[in-house]
Amino acid sequence: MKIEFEALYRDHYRRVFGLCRRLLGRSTQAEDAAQEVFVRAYRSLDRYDAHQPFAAWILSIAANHCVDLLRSRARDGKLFDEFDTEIDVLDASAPGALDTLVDEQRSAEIRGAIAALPDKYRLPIVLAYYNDANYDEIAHALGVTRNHVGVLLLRAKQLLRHSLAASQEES
Amino acid sequence: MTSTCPSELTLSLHADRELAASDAVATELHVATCAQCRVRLAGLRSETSIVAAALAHGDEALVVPAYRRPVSRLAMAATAVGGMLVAMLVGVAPDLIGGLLQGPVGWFNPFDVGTFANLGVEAVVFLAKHGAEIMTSIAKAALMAAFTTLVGWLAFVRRRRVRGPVVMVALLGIVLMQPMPSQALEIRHDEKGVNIPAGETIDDTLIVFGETIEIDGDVSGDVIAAGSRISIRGRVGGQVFTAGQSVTIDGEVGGSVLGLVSETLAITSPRIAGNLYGAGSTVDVDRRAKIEQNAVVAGERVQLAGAVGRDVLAGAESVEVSGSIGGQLTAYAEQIALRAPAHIAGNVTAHVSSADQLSVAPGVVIGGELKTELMTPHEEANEHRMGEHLLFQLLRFAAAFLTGVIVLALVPGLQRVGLDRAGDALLAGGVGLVTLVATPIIAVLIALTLIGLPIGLFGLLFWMVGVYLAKVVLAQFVGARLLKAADEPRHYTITLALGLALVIVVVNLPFIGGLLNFVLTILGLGVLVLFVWRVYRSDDAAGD
Repeated sequence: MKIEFEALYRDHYRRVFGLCRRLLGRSTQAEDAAQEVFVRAYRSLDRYDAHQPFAAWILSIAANHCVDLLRSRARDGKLFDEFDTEIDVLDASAPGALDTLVDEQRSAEIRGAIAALPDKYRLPIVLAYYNDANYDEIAHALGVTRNHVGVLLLRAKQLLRHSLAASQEES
Repeated sequence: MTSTCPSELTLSLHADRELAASDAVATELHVATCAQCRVRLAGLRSETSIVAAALAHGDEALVVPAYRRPVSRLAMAATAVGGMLVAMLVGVAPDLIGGLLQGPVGWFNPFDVGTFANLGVEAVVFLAKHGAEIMTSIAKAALMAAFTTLVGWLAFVRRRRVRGPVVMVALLGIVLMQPMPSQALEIRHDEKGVNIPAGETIDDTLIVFGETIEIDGDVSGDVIAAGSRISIRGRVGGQVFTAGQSVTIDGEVGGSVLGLVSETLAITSPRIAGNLYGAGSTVDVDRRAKIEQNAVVAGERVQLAGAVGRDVLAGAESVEVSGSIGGQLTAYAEQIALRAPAHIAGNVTAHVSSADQLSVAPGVVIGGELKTELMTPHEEANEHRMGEHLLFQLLRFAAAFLTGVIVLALVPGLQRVGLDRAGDALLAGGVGLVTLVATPIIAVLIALTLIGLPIGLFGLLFWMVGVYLAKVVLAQFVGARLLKAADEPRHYTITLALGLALVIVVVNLPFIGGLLNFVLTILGLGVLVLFVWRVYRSDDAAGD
């Protein structure tokens, strides 16, 4: 079991670390978080259902752990407030503003902008577009409603447009 | 865009394929006819794919860190037990060698956290005092409860046929329960003093605590006594373990005697059937005394006027022998005097620093050889003490380092504990203080409940281990922070060594060392408690 787990670690570390880093944003503790995720996985191996892909299982542990970490850091332990389910149309450019040429540099810039998003917007966007989770899975992981997820994602995209447009103007 | 155009939220949901089927169809139909919405939807879709593409990259340069096997529960338990053993060793060793090595009571002695440790000790004393009563009453209560349930069940369920017999069984039971079950242990405690009068006989092992302890009666089992003045004049069937300021043993002892005494240990017992292990400022074996086996004695002044059946090993500043020894005499001392009518059947080996420090009076009989072994001369007394102090600090350092390496290797998560923010430190300090103060109290309270006695005792043990480990973990953290600040992150053994060295220096500072020691203890304890709490909470969360 030990040797097997070491192989699992090698195969999945990159992905787990990637998720932690993206979920935790600018915080530098992604490595600690990733290690902790493997420790948790190791301890609860007996609860792992072998029919499920290991990646999905450990990534769900990672998502839970990172959400917990951010929640414990948030004021009042709340990441999402009730009243931001309503969307107020941001004075942002129309959808598609991101649709400029995407080279290496631009891609890094987008990642930077995502990392700089407030926790409540970064979490759903990473889960949706890095982890390929659907709204129900995101809602479950974040403890919010499905509808709320849709609003948060749209809002996140609007903010991204905004900050990327601003950074482009600067340069 | 018309008033019938779907909102951006609807389009966003549609782009993510999260609209309900009927809404999706409606949106698709609208988009087919509305050029503006088609552009918006296409924009959202391309945004999604751009974000996904950007997120997918960026980890190419990542180096997967070496695999460290996560610790299992078993390993954690093993660590706890190991830590406990080390802590016990470190805690007990200074007591055992206290007479020889007068190191300052250790920073790494888990029993040394000033007044707070006293709480723990008092808790143990309290348990020792009431333990037997508690156990007896628990057993009685449980038995009574079981019995009442049984009787009740019989009376109600089988009412008609067996009422008569039930009442008889109940009465019989109550009668049988009245005599106390014989105790294997008798514990007496009184702060002022305990006196077992001459007529009294105790058929079990006797444990006594008190300022003055006088045992004139007989004890058939062992005697374990701790107090400032202890005198045992009665007969003891088993072993005698005593610790105190001054101890006198007059009565016969069927087993061995262990005496750890800060002032005088006086043995006048006409017969000790086993060995004598005695350490004290003065160890005085009177000429009436007879020890049938060996005697191992240490102290500043050792006088052996009585008879020892076998060998004698003595270490002291001055050793005086005028009694008879059936075997060898080996002595390490600055002054060794053999006076008449000493009679030593075997060899005499005197370890002294110069030959004139051994004196053999006329009339002394030595059956074997008289050997003088010269020890390297002692250094200046003050330097000597300083040397001992340093040696002791080194021992402490080594023990703590070893413990730290083992614990940190088994629980790698502890290598990364941190107090990066002021809030963390405050929280850890608070939790540590509460743990330090509340654990012994809670342990005692738990011990008073039905099944709590062992839990309470284990709680206290874990508490002591925690107090020890707290400083080790904190030292590792301090070392890691320092090297990190210097931009030289190193292997944890190096950070541990650095942190321990620093912390040992800090707590030995005059005036403020004690305060710093206390602060470090509560901080470390807090970090440890929070760490364990997080591990267990995460265990529960991991399965979700």
